[in-house]
Amino acid sequence: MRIYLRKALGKSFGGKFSDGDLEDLIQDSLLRIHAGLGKFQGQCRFTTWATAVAVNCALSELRRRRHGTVSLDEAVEQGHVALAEETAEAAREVELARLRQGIAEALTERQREATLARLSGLPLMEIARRLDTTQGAVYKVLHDARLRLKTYLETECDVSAASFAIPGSP
Amino acid sequence: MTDSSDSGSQKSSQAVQGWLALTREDELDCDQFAELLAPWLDQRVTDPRLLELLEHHSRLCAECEEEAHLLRTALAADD
Repeated sequence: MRIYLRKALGKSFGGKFSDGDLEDLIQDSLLRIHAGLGKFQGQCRFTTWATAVAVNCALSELRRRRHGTVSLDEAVEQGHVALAEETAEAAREVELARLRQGIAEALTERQREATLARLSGLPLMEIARRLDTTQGAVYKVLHDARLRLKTYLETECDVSAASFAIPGSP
Repeated sequence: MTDSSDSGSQKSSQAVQGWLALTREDELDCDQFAELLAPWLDQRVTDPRLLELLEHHSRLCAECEEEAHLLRTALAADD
């Protein structure tokens, strides 16, 4: 299993980890796999499940390294500044103002905090780590925030759902 | 919810609008997606509704999409 995971992570993460770090990650992954054996119920191949654990372990470490020094407060502030200082051409000024207003008025404090932290580029996984919760729980907070913001824009600002663009989407 | 690393120079408002465009009541959260990821890649998920929810979450959550991509690449090493 150790040899298999080394090969698998090497293929996925290339030179992003030193040999020593990769060995540590494989060791951590093996411990997590062992601890989680009871949860494996044969819903997929064992190697797929074990590799998923190892990839999650490595990706968590990578994101922790990238964002480890940023506090949640700093991320929220960065998100706030990015939105506040954003400029738009005249045709989009009203739209931008509505979004700012919606984020300020329609969201709860926790929803606004998570949304602004997310806008700063802090990954969900890292927001979750700072809030001592799961990535799924943060996703739910953001999901509720998106639903509230969408409803707010549709009702208070008469913006139809169809008008929301999907920048960069295929 | 695009990651900063994925969104590049995308403006904050555009990011929010992109999220809103894909927002709907029924969505998988990241924990549910993670639980289904390995069975999905092993083609053990056959329920069309679940498959659609997985695809939708992938479009909305760049982090989970990245994880799925890395796992696909890792599994390809075994081919």
